[in-house]
Amino acid sequence: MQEDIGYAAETETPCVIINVMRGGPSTGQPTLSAQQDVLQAKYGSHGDYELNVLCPSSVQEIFELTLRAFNLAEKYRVPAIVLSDEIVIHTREKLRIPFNIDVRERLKPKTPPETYKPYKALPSGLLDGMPTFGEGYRMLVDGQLHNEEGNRAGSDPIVSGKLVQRLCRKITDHAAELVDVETLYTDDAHTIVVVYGSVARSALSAVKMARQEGLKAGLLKIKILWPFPDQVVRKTIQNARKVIVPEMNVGKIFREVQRVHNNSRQIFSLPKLGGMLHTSGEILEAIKSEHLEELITV
Amino acid sequence: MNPLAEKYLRKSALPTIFCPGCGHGTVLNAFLRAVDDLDIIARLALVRGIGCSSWTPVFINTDVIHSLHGRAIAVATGLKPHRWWAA
Repeated sequence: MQEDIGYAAETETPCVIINVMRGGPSTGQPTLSAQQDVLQAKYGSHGDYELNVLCPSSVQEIFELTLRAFNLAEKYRVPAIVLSDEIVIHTREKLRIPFNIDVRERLKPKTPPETYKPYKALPSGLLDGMPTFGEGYRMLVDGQLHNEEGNRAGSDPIVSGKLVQRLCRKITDHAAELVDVETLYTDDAHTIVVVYGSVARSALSAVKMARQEGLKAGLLKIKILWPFPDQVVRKTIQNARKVIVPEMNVGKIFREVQRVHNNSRQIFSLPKLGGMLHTSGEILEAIKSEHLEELITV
Repeated sequence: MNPLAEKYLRKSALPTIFCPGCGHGTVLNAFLRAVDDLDIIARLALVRGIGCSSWTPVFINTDVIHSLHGRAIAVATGLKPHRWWAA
């Protein structure tokens, strides 16, 4: 599957992939939950490329983010991965389907076939529409690095380098449009819990419990995980005295949070392995703890 | 240029990359004669895989898609229902 993801990134083929994470490696824990694939989702295929990864934490978000994934894949011509986990996927909840659903139709080229260059980018780095086979555009779709016409150019360092750079920059240059986070009580929070996926569920109740006890706790939930929302995470956590990153893995997005913060000693990973979700009590205990290092055991 | 070549080759992809003495140029030649006899270029899409033989379609001016190693038939199978009205 990873080779296909790279192929889709290179040929700029929009597609949506659903990955429901379970405990690994290998056959691992077939019916239990995990968040161990968060880096694989971004880095799984070989080569340099960018894509969109969306992490739902409820049934409503599965609906909304899957829809968003299709629209993002069409707009940016990249693979979009809905990266869910076993807990969210097996949850039954009320779903509200809006009357008007924003569905992005596939754009067709504005240029006629005679002068159309399928891989000639607009100033935004995005391509001019996507013809279908048989429409007269005589497409050449190739997994090799190619020039604007689609002809192989793997041996041309300038053309190849520029293409790889554009494949990355068409996402990184639009990172501000690709931010989707939710915050709760973060404005005055001393302790902020940064979460994604099903852990957001128990973290939310932990933060609410902490507030009831008079503790200044806040929640930052990341819904579009890749590209990582550097600016928003940095701005949200900059005044916090303590940042906790609970994850059902050994601590992967924790490193991203460390990367964007200027004092990584205030950031703590709260890993949980074995297929079980963090309880809200465990996260509350971490919020209260003065010596978080002692609580953490992988 | 040979009239068949003029009619069917993708000019921007030329020259071919076939090595001296390679038979794939002959295959390409015979293939284009068949396309011309059958008059199917407007309904033709080509799916190519990995390996030198898969270079042949690149030089034909119609819709061409490259696929992953061993996946050409799978891609062609996917393409066919999408263009089911084509022969």
